[in-house]
Amino acid sequence: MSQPVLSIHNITKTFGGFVALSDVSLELHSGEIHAILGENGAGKSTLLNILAGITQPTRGEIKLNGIPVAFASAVDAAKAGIGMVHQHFMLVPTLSATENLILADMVENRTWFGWPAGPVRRRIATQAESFGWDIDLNARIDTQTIGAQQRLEILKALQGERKILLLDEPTAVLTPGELPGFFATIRRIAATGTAVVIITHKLDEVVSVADKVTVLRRGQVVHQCLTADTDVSNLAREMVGDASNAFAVLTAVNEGKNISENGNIRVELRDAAAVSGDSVLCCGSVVIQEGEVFGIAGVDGNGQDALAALLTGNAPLSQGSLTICDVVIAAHQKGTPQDFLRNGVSYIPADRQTDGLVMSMTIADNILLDRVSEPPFTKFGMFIDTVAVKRFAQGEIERFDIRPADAGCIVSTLSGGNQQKVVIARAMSRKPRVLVAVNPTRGLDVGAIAYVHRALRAATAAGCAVVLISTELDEILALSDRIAVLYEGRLSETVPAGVNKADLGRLMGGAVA
Amino acid sequence: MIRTSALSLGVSFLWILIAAGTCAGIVMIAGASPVAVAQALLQGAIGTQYNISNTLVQTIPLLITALAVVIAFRAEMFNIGVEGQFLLGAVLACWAGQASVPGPLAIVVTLLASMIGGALWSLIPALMLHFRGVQIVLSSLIMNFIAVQVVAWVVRGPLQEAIREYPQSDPIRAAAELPKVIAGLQLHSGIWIALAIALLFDVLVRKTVFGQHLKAVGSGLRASKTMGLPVSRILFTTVLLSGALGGLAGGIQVAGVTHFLADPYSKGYGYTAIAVALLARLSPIGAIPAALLFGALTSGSSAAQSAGIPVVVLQVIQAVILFSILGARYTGTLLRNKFASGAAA
Amino acid sequence: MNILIDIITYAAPVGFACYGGLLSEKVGIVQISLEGMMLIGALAAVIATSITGNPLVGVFAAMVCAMLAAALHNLFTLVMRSDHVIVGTAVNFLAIGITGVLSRTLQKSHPTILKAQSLPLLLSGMNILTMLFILLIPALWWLLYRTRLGIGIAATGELPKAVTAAGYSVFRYRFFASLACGAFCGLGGAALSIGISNNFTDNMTASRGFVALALIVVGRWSPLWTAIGTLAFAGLDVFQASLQASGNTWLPYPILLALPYILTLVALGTAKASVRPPRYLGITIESQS
Repeated sequence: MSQPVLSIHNITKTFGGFVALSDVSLELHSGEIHAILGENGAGKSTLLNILAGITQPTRGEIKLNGIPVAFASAVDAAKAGIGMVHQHFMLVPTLSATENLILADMVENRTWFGWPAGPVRRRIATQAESFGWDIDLNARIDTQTIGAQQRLEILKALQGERKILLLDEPTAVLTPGELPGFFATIRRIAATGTAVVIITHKLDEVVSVADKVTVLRRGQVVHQCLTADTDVSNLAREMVGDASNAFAVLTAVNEGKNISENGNIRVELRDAAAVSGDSVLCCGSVVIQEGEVFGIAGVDGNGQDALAALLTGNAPLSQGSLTICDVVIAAHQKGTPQDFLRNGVSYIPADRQTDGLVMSMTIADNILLDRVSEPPFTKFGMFIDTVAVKRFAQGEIERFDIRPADAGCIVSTLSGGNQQKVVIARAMSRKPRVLVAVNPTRGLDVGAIAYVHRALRAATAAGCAVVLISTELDEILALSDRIAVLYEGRLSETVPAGVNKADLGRLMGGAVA
Repeated sequence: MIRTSALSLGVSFLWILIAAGTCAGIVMIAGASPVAVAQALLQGAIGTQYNISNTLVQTIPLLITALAVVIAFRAEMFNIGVEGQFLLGAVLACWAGQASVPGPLAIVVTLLASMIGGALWSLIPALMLHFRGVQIVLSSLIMNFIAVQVVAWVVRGPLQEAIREYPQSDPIRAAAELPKVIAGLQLHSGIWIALAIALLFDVLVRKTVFGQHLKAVGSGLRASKTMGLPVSRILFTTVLLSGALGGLAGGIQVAGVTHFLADPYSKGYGYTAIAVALLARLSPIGAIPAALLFGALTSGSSAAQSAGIPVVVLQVIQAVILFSILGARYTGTLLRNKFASGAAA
Repeated sequence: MNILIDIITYAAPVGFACYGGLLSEKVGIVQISLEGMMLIGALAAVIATSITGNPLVGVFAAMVCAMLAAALHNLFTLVMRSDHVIVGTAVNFLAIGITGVLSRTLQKSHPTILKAQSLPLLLSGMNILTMLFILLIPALWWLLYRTRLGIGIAATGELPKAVTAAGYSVFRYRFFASLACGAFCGLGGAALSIGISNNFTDNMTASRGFVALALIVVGRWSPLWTAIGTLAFAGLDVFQASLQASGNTWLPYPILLALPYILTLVALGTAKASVRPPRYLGITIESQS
């Protein structure tokens, strides 16, 4: 048994009073592909940050080739041969690829006034060629696609003598069709002797590419084995600890309601185009009916933000037409989120902490954020009827089981799941006719994910049309009655729920069905 | 709980000591005696009936401008242009105060004109923010400099006194003056207006829909916008309201104290108002004692000259007070966090 | 040609403040205190030059004293995490107060200390600071766009976690950029007091520090464009002064004085809406390491 290239022993990490990792140990051999599996909040990112030298463990030991080491910073880890590709890219958007590489470069001498553009470019170009990649080194990062950015991040992490490569949720930005190519790249890297650690929460990927898997739950290692010795359902159970709940939520496939051709149309887009920040919707046509969950799949960065903004009044229609809740909106017409809200469109935004909630205000304040100016919450039109507000908020708290059940609790102290419940409570309290939900379960644990899925389904029972825009393909498949795919700002044609993943993957990669 | 409040009180007291010590140190470097200066300040602030009245007179514009700052800052609109809005309010008040308006209406018209003047002056930054995304900090600042020149021009041109001797205006009509509270003293009834506005704003901020909107927009602009609050309307209203208040302060200064316009006019109330508003932790009611403190300091510092220290030491004291507030807040947060995690462990 | 030299000389104080301010804002620190630091630099330059008889010592003293003020700013913004605008305002108050108190007391005790010899004129009537102002345009360009340091500076203001991930310290970048800003403001103050006026008068910076703030935005945080904006502003100032000197009665004097400000406002308003300030400008970063 050869010496492990990296081994960690009894690593514990606490943040203040919170224990993120407890007594974690694992071994990594050269050329091995090791997956670290766990649901959101299990501690995977913290573990990776410790391995990469970004944070230091509170207790425990790290050994490199049998010798104990301590990384004071990312530079130390890099010099020791550990490279990391982060989930949220560490590329400065306003700088070019070359400039980003110079910033992160640890091979050349790090002098203040140095400008190793030439050597850096040459090194990267050679390596990119060996993978068969075509990278534009001079363009600004914010002009490049997400896939290109990820390739750049991988190249960046491979600079110098890399013995260990850490990847944090690398497949989040890839279509199902791009996965085989990515896995081939990983295998090629491992074949050169580099040990690869992949963090993921996707069970089938673990089984297809990893040699070994370590399952983390609530900061502790609950299972370690060779992937050859296990399967998806075993791993699911280990990941969540509760057989029925986990498996059902994580691998559900929706049979799909039969959506008749004659249902009431709630949303109709015709050649619609809109822009929101960096996100562009260039051409979308779709018809969504009441009582259905319409899933919009696609890799992040293909226009989801623009579509969501358009449907909720946060971005103007630049071309085409949009009919929502029987209101026709023409191009360049100035609609506001307020108007859309009043017409019955509710919104569960992608980023609950910046777009969905005012973090420093209470639960009651947030639930009634836009309704506090309407009766019955006002007295004499100007003053707030605090009694009515509190009564209503308490009702919603009970209905949605928000914890702690205190209307005066500040939202920033709530867990992610409970924060999302506040957002959902507000969205549902207006009895919406259209509910736009974007990545509604991002960052939530399995229990909260199950809850959100139930809530979305329940909304359709009341006749609401749910537009589910999600980058999690499993979620789309689990909930949707019909599906369309966004690719580079274009909406594909609508397909029924029973479609298989491979076909969907092809649409996500740009194929025309 | 008791332990933490006792500790934070102690820390605040420590910061007061640090502030006092720093001021004393600077005074000594300048060659004066800290004790003498402190005595002079105290005397100048509350030593005689005249001085007390003067303190209150200084407090009035400080309170109103501070309220203007409070309203704007609560919405994260860093309106540091209150100085310019004050000046424009004074200009319009002077103009309206000279018009022949029937008796009792004269004061109302004058003050109304001053509010319009201030609001108009804040309208330009508001428009620039709405249409071009220019930050209020920058645009309102530049408007201050332009306002100074507007006053300079107006008192040498359209509003100059009839005899055209000095760069100052004719006085406003007696009917437009604010009556004195006690005959013989400078204190005028502007003080009732100032206090009333402070109380009104307190209710506004805590109990009305507008106050709630202000809180939402100030702490969560993006969420407010996405979730359907009329953010543009709220911000616009806030900036204009802030400008109107700044203008009102200028109008009251003209109607109550000087009765005419001269160049230069302001004593920097608009800038001091920022310190007052921060000391008051952006609370309208809190602005009353805060403005009083700064009013006392202003009144007292004119007497400081007799103790051998220039009047401009006031700025140093103001700065030291500001720094101490920030320091006390920081240590307060540190302590609170330490106790929170300590309790959890 | 003489007029051009004049314009550059008058532009230098604001120009230095602009350089300092843009360096600071690029790493994410709002610098309302440009005005105060310039004032401190101006007074320090005059006093040091008077005492030692050497204007270069004055320049050095100006830089050091302004950097002390910047350090104070750092203490409250970087360490105590207070709001940048508030701290900047407080520093300005402090600067006005201290320089006012010092200059008044010195006026009574040692009046001559407030009059100093000016910087010697070198190349074609420009003193060393004026020349430095021009030389800094390519120098700063090189620093910001062709060195590792420059990339780190840009990254600190746009994506601090990338800086941390690369193993650098966001705190250090912010700290030293802010100190550098102080040094530049000191140079600006010196350029004003011993470069142009030969003395120190109350509040002699006359809000130039604030004008610099606006010019940084108009100049899109680039050394070249801010220098151009500064020269334009100074040009207007010189134009207005010469109009006044030639006994112009067409435009009232105050309007002339307001003209540069009005035009700055117009420039601010017409700047391309797509020009973004550094993303992390004014934002307090939690883990700065």
